[in-house]
Amino acid sequence: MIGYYDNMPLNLDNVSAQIKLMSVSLKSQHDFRLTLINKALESLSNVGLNNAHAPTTTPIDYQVLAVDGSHIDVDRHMPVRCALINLSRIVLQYGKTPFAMLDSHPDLYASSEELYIHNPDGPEKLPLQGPLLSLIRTVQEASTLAQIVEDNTSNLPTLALIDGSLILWGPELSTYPKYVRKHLLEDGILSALAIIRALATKYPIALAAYISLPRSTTVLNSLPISQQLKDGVGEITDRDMFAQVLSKGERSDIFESNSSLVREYYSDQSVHFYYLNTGDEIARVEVPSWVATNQDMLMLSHSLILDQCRKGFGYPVAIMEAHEQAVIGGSDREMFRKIVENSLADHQLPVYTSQKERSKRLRLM
Amino acid sequence: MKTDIANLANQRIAEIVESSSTCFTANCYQLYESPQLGALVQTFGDYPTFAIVRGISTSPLDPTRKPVARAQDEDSEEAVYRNNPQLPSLLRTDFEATIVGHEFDGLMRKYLPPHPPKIHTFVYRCSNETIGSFIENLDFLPILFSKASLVTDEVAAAFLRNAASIHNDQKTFILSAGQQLARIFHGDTKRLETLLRSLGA
Repeated sequence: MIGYYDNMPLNLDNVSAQIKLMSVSLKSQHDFRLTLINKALESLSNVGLNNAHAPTTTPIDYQVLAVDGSHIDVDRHMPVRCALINLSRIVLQYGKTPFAMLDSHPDLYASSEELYIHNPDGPEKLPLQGPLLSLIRTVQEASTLAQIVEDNTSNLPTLALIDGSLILWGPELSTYPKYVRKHLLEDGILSALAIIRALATKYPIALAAYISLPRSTTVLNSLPISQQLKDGVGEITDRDMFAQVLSKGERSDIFESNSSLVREYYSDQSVHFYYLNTGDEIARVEVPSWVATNQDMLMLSHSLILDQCRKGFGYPVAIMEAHEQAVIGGSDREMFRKIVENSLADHQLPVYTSQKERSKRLRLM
Repeated sequence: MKTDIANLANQRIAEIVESSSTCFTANCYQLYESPQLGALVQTFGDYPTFAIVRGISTSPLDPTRKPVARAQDEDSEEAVYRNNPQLPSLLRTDFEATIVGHEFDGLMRKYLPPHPPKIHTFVYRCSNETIGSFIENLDFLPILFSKASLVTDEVAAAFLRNAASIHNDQKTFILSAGQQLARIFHGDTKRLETLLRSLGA
């Protein structure tokens, strides 16, 4: 007779035993990890980059602007080739005249013009799907942020906040043809960041990107620590190191990104970053060079991000709300599919789906 | 009975989001700005409908996001909203109303309309003049106190108190309402007493 557990797709007894082994292994590495972190801190101190900076007072009146995006990728099991990007826009004003604007806007990508990046100088084109669609979404987020910064210029101290990185990240990016990289970078994210930079010359705007639970090792890798010491210790990140340096509310010194992409494309908007102890975690905050080199704007980004984390129970409120407005949940995805199918049927167009998709949906016994 | 809708623009308070033959739920345009419990509200359209507010609720727009306490470090409740300006955009105030009548051929009918109001029908506060017309006779009270109306005695009493407060002759109105209630609840003196007490009779 087959028992209940024998018939389950995931054998949790087996998984549990493997998880125990993993924990034992991590425990055995603990002392080695501490040694490595201490060695790293010593090196950091030697180069004078172990300073902790306290925040300045948070202005009473300020505004924070944020965006986020979510998308439905092209799905070959759907009866039509299309994609959807949903972008949120958040404006939160604090102080004497509290105000909030929270909304989102969906864009359907269905035509050939929309579903491909075309080479303006040739017949080539690359379909928008998978990682490329994710990159386009990131570019759209930056453009939307530039738009709401432009729409909300004021003399209020302003924090323009991006969820994630200022660096357009994607392992495939370097493999794309030049015209695609230009579309994504020069004509895309860098153009959006330049708009914000131009506005920041007239208004008190600090642009920053917030990375929760960062896994970056940029600072650690730049320190002279023997590989021998690193071997067998498992993963150590900058975060582990700065957790020892920064007290609640403090930020680290400023570091410059060594990303080859930044060096190649970002020129005068090169990306800098600092680590920040929000009280709940060590976060990585990326800022463009024009914020990193402006003490007032740097301090503004520091104090306002801290205030946002305090108001958001450990995570910036504006980014949290941006996510909530942008997210496309499971039921919305299913509804999107149904609306597409119904619309095609209404127009007497063939509605078909793959048998694989149909099988997954019906789950017949 | 004719109503100038244009003059009622500033009385528009909500939109129907759920509708049935006997009741509807309306979503208020402004957070916490619902008509009071027991208030008479009305709609226009094919079957202008009158209804009594029987319940008011404020809840998150997204039911999966629960509000959490935020005021531990604040001086006042107002400060919570001041320091979290997004909150009004994430909350909604709704009210449920029991339908007690409708208008047809220019006359007020104290029974259910043939069709319930449509979703997104605008809901208006009733003017004192309209309330006055509605309570000219109280022959709708048995329907109001029937189990099917889902209106509790508390809400019905609140409606009658509101009505009394705008009536020219408050005493006569309360007396007339009390007599009607005595006829409806002649076998339930305990309930009648409680009702009359809450009417101040």
